[in-house]
Amino acid sequence: MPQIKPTRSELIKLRRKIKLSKAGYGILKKKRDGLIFNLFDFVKDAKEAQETLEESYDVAKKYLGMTITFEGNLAVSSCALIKKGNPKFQLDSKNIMGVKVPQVSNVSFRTGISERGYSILSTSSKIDETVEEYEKVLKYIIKAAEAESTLKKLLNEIEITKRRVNALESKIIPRLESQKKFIDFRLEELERENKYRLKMIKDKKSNKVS
Amino acid sequence: MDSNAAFSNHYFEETNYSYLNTRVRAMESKLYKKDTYLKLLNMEVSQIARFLGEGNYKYEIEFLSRNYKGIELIEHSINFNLGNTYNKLIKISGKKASKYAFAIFSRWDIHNIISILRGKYSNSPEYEIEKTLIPIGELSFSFIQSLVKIPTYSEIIKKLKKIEKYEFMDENDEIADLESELFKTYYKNILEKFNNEKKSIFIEFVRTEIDITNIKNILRMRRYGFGIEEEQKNMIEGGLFFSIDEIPSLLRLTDADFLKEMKKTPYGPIIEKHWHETTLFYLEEYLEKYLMKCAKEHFIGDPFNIMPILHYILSKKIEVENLRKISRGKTSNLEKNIIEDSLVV
Repeated sequence: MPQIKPTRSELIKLRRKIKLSKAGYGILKKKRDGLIFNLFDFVKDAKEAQETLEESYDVAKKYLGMTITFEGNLAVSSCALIKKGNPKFQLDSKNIMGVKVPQVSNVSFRTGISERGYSILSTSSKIDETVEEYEKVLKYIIKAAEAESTLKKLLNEIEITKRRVNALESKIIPRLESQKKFIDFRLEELERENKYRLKMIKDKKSNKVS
Repeated sequence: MDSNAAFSNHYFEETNYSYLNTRVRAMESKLYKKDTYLKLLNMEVSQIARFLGEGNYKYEIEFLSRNYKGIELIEHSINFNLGNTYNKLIKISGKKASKYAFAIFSRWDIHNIISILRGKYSNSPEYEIEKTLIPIGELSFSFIQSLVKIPTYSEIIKKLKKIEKYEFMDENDEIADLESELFKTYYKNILEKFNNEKKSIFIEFVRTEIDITNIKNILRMRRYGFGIEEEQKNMIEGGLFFSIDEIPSLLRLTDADFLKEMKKTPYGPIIEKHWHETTLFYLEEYLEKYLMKCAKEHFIGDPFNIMPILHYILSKKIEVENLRKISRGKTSNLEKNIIEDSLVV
């Protein structure tokens, strides 16, 4: 038992702490349950995003494979040299039960054929279609990254909340209660001592009178 | 102009067709036949590399096996072999035959120039640009490599402008426009150079190639929708079955009318067969295949003229493309029938 003053003011403080801890415990428990409930929705979203990405990547790989087969690696590598700029998208954040998760918007990497920097005379539609497929992959990568990042942040928050709930439930609240019990016991003891002392004084006084 | 830039500036003796055709016939006899391709179709990529290394591609496979392996080794080796074969052909061809050969080979000059310009435009490192180059063309490969060393896009164009063929280039043009101009000028130069041979099979082949390039571009422009100015930049003059003036109307026809127009040409059956496919992949592939088949069938004739040489040039290119399709197709897990259908045999 840590050093604790068995005073009434300390008892009042402890009672307040226990009340606060119990209220916090209830709220955190609700938060944890809420986060877990939300997590299931996001798991579904992340799984869908991952599956779409994998499917889209398989298609893009097939297109690239066919383009390299028919056009040759030299032609494809030559086209790949003309990469113009970096893809742009808007990155915001949204709040899910106090957890800030990324929110990506304006995800569209689709470029018109004339914006890609190559001439249609020097390329074939195989290049166009492969570029289109890879632009889709890029879009789904962003979506999957958003879903995965949300999931990671939620899981992290659930873990933290779970640890807090457990700490409150099995360490902080029992410790505070045992402290309260200790003070209660000490105060009762003091009261009993006082009572006994008063009784003794009373008895002595009555003996003197008699 | 740099006198060493183009091989065509070098001195060539008169063409001795009987000697040249004998050599070319011997070289052509070494080309792979249909049964070899069918055998290769049943092999793994490593087995294909071994087969090539034991045959006509021995030197290239051994030379490049230190730097590459697997599919990369095969593709680099066959490209390197194509370059070596064409350079050998130039050495033995003589003045008249080399004129035709250079006309075909300058296509690879355009590929090299475009790759360098693209690389410089996007500030790609030199080694990445060099990986996309092929040592074939009218311009010497050392000249092409010297262009890679030039730091900026505009300086490369300034250097190229000193060559008569590339005088039209303007460093202020967009790269896509320059690419289009390079191709248009390539065909224009060939048609002008061989203007007096209007009935020649070679010119007919080039004009068929123009038609097929135009059709492919019309199909792409119809699909993606281009502005009038963009359309005009991507049309090539000199086609066999339809002129440049007919292209804008072909772009605006309904699907049914467009098909009706196409059916009037030999390309109609191919276009009709693949019309409803969601991708233009196969349509383009079969148009290319048609062109190569036409060339193989028509470049046959008098052994004392250029035809056997042109036949060999195209046949060698077809062989390299077939080998690439088989080995790349295997790596990309393409179905055997797709690879087999795409082969020109």
